[in-house]
Amino acid sequence: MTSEMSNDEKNKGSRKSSSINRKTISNQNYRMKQMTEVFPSLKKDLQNAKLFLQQSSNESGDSLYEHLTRVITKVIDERPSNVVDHFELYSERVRLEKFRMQDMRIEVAYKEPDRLTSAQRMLPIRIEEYNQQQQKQRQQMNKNKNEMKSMTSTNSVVMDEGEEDDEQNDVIYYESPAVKDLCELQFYWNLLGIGFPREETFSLSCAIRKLKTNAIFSSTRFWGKIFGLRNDYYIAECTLTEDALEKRIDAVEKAINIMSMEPLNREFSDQQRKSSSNASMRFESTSVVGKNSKNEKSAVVVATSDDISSVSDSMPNKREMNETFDENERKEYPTEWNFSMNIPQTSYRRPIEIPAEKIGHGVNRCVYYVCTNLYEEWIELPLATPHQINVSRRIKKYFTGNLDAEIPSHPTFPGTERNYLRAIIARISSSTHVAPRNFYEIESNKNIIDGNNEDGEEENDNFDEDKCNNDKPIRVNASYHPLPLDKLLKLDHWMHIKPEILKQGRVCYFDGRLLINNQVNDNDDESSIDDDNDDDDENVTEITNIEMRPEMLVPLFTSCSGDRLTNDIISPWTIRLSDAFVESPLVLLQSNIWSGAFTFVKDRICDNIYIGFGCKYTSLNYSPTSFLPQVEMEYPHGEDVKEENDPSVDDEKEWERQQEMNQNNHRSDDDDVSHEVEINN
Amino acid sequence: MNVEAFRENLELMSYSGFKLKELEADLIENSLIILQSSNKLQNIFFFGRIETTSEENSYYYIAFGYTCDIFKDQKFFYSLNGFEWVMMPEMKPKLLPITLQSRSLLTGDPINVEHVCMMPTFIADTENVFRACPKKPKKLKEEDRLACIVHLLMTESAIMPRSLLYRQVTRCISYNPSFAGLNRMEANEMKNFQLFRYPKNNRNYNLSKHDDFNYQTDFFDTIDDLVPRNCFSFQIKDRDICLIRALHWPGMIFVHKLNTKYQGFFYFGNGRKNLDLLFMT
Repeated sequence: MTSEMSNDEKNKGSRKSSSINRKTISNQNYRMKQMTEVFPSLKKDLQNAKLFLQQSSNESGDSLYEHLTRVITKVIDERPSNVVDHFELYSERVRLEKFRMQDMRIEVAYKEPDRLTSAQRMLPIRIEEYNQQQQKQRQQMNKNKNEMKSMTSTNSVVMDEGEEDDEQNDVIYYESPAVKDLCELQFYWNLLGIGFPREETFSLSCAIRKLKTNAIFSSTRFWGKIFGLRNDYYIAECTLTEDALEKRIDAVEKAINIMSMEPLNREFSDQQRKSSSNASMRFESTSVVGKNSKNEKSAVVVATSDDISSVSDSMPNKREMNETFDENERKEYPTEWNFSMNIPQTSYRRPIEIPAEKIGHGVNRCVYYVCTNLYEEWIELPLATPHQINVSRRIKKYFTGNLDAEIPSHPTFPGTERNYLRAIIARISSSTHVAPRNFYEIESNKNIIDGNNEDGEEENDNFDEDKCNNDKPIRVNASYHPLPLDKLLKLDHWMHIKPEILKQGRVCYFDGRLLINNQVNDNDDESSIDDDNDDDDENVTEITNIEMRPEMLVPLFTSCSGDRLTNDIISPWTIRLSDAFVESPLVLLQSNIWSGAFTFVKDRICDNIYIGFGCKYTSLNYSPTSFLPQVEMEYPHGEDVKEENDPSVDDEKEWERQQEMNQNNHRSDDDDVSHEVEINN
Repeated sequence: MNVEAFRENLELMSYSGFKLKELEADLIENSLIILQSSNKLQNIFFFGRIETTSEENSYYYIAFGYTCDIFKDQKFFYSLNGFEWVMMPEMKPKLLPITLQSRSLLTGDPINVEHVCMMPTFIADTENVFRACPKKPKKLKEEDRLACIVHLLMTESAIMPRSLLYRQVTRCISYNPSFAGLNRMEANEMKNFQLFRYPKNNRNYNLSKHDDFNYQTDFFDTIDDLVPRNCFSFQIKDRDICLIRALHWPGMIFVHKLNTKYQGFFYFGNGRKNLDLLFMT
């Protein structure tokens, strides 16, 4: 308060003094005028103007004189170009600088949190890599020294050994091939105008190397980048080694068994347990055909049911309470109804859930890893299920960058964003991964995996062959001759290297009839009360014969020239060339359907990449209603639903007359009927 | 992006995942500098490239410049090979709805005429039955379509950081030479990014968004008012790179290196607006 007061007083004082000054000046002027007749005096005018400029303002206490001197000194110190054009901005900046705090300790100490956290995470990883490199270099140096010693000690060295050493050295100089590959490929992508900035390429290669060190992968490659709203996804494609595959399959089967037991357990009452165990025993005896998984499942169910009974005997839990409650409920209904009335049964059948392909097969041949920040851990994506793929075909979404985000969409997507991402990856790679003809070949040795893939392959043989051709591991053809440029410019000489995904959402066609039969059998097992199952069976087979026709399988390595879009006019592929300063130009194949999917080829190097939003090109705009039935198709015209003209007034009168007539007749009829009933009874 | 700092901007551009090829970049940079001097432009910008389906003329390269006022005296140029620049025809407002209805991609031939199927109009009968009256397909020359696309892109999705441009005392809008970049705190707020167009909103409304408003720089429309809300995705990358993608025009990207004057927007896309945005976020 005191300081403010003093300031005010000062200001007042200065104002007073200035007014006094003026008065004195004017008095002086008057005297000067009288004394000397030189009136227009420059000195006096300047003094006047300066005094006016030095007046301090009421609001800020600053004077224009000081401000101008500060601006001019700043301009002369810094000497920016064309100050006149933006003088007002310049003077504003000077004003702002004046009011900034002189000693900005807070600003110095404060680091932006995001930058700091990323630096803290990034640094240890880089230090680790640095140390590894140092170690390798040291090892190298030591080896060289040892060699030198051996050379000096034994002067007579056989030439062959020397060559071997050289070879070893060569091998050691390069680190792992993946790093070299990624950088090399990125170099080619850069020539084609696609790729990331330098530091991002580096951290990407480091991250991929981290994946590569894992022993369970036989091959690792960078798949691409999908943009999200908050974060971008970097995606790596890995193929598992056979050992790892077997382990995974075992683990998955165990998990499935446990999962399938749980819902059953909840429903089991004591009686049902017995019946089910009997039924499963029956099932085992009846189904002799090779359904190993089924048998295992039922066996496990039997075992666990015993376990549960023992557990529930020992400790009373909620389940028993529920059971008693259920019994009470049941008692409310008269049991006689079951015999006297036919309970109407719904004709609705739940659509058959098509099982997902096992890991290492079809859509799930490769495992995909994803990360949003390159210094974080890679996260494995779950397997793609046919249902997810099918729903993902019907919706169009941007990714958010959070793997656990839910996907609000009209056909409800089963799962979170990680499932959606996996489905989109499967669709993109199956439709856009291409290579020049004969670049890849089918691995003929590995028939083992395909052999016991699905149940009941024996149904039709032709179908089986197709399937084998469709889903097989491939490898780079060692005897591939690079195609000449004029051939590469034609789509006939390009082929798909990933199998097409069927409408069903799988690569191998799954026969739904088998599943339905199994389901019916399961129903038998669970509730052995119904005796009408035989009739149902027949119905079901009829339905499935109509609904589920096996889809045409497109064999692997089909030509890209046959690709066509159903509704769109555009051609699905565009071929481009790189700049001609490379000796043999790179050929780039660009997908118009998944914009952002590219493939390049140079001699013996071929790579696919996807950089984009993960949205398919559609010429028509997306509309969720198009999946509902059309209004006029909702109720098909038949005997029940007929369209007729509205009755006129005359018609209505006639109808009323007829009604009266009928009523009279009916009364007599009713009497007859009642008579008949009495007779029958 | 400004051709003055072409190489720096190219480096920023690569954060989008796409780059210009070496030869392409050289051709564009040098030819644009020559174009600037021959047209007496004060500044010239490389706007981006639009993909076509043809294999010979694979892209339309687009550039624009101004003589005095950055918005009033804009001139647009396009090129099929990256060095022979042609003046873009003036945008015809009549053709804007037809452009939005067009379903196909650009063909790479500027004189190609396309027949666009228009949405039918629905007319009620005397008995209140709605009938669809299919309209005649309308003709659309590719050159005009290009002009419309670029106009839409510029007005709807081109953005700039706050106080990049300012209005001089002479009412002429030009570059602010004292622009020193946004800092990280500022870059997190949408109101600090403005649309690169002549403002359409009320001036006082635009000014009222900022506490420390400045009459010279803050009268532009900000991007938080655009009608599909959240039609921009914000990302701040590791090395202080602020990356903004326009979701209603996929391919339109704005990059700004924080605390420096390097910034720019550019478009690498196929020239189709994403009308499905409301379903997609």
